[in-house]
Amino acid sequence: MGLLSTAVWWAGYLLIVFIACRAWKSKLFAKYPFFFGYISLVLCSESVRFFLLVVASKKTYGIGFWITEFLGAIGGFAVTWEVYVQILAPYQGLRRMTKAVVSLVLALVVAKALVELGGSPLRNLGPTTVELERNLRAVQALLLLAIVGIVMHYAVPMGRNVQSMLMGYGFYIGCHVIALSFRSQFGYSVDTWRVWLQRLAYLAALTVWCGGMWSYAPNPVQHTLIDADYERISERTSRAFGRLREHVTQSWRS
Amino acid sequence: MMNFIIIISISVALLYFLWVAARRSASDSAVHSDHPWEPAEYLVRLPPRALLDRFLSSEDVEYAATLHSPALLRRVVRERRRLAVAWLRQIRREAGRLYRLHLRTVRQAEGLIPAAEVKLALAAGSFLAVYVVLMGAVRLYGPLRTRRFLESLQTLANTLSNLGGRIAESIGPGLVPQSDARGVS
Repeated sequence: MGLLSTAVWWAGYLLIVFIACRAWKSKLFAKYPFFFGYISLVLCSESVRFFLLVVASKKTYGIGFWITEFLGAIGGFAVTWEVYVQILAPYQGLRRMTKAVVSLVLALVVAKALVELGGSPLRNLGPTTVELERNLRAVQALLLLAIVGIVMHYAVPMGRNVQSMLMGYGFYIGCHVIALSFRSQFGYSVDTWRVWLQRLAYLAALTVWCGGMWSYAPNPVQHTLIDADYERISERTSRAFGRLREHVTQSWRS
Repeated sequence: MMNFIIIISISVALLYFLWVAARRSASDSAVHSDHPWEPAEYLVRLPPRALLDRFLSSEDVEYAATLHSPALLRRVVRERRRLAVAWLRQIRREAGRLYRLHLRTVRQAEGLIPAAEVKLALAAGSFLAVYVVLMGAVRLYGPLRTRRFLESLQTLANTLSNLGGRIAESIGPGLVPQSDARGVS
């Protein structure tokens, strides 16, 4: 490892230790158990990697690296889950909407996988470690895209904690998937910039979490509407759009 | 290669939407609205139709034409186009306001129905399609020709509708399936 790369690694390590310590002090572990479970997993992974780098052979380090990388990819679903739970907790109706959207997204993913397997099953059944990790992260990216879409469409307000969780992890996943896709497509020729993109995205995510998770900042509390209100509002909007369409077309006739 | 393009597109879309969401949340933090909905907010505020009739009236253009000044005539037509575009934009802004109001209100509803939301999104989309077509026609052909075109379209639709009615009548009630109290006979 070069000097700069060692410095970046140490910066990331210290940041994640700092986030964990700060969360412990602010009692955030109990508030966001899945997210801090992931942070603990990453902290352990980094420690194991460091240990293997110092004491073990290059081959053992390589095996350890990919195992921890794979665990990180699986553990990332915990962050996605936490984001969903925290954002949608006060919105029962939006949860139903999100469930419909996520079901559609997952059905499309499964359908695409089945079509690909149907073409050449044996070749596609054994993806490389990079492809496997990329696919896991890509599913997370899709799920995050769905929740970002819902949040933007309905202008759902978020507290500082959840916002930093979504922004930081979303940015990291986006960059990570791009890097892994290029690595999987073009091989070792793009390895240098792939590693740097991943490291810098990781550092950026940790920095966002550092600021966002400084203290407990829950989501704004919303009052709930009853079913009759929804029906009335829905009917009013529908009628309003009917009037608008009629006005815009009828007015042009003399 | 196809997988590569799809996955890269998903990632780029995610990064783009996160950026938009971050920008939006920064600007929205000052205007945080969680007040209960007011029925008055659902009143549709439309620009009056008389205003459109006034600036699309052919008298002004005819008068400008009698002055035999091409520059003046061009200016009149350009001004009418600008007014028509502003009129359409005002309606689109109103549609945007109503849709945003709906979304901000129903996000708290327990009984939110995904199918109803999709239907409303389609209604908003169809309105937007009408708006885009009208805006394109006004920009390309000017408001006066757009109005004439819409009128002839309306006449054509009426003629076809009448023709259809007459054809149905000429077939006779015996040949068209009739429904009674017991169902279709």
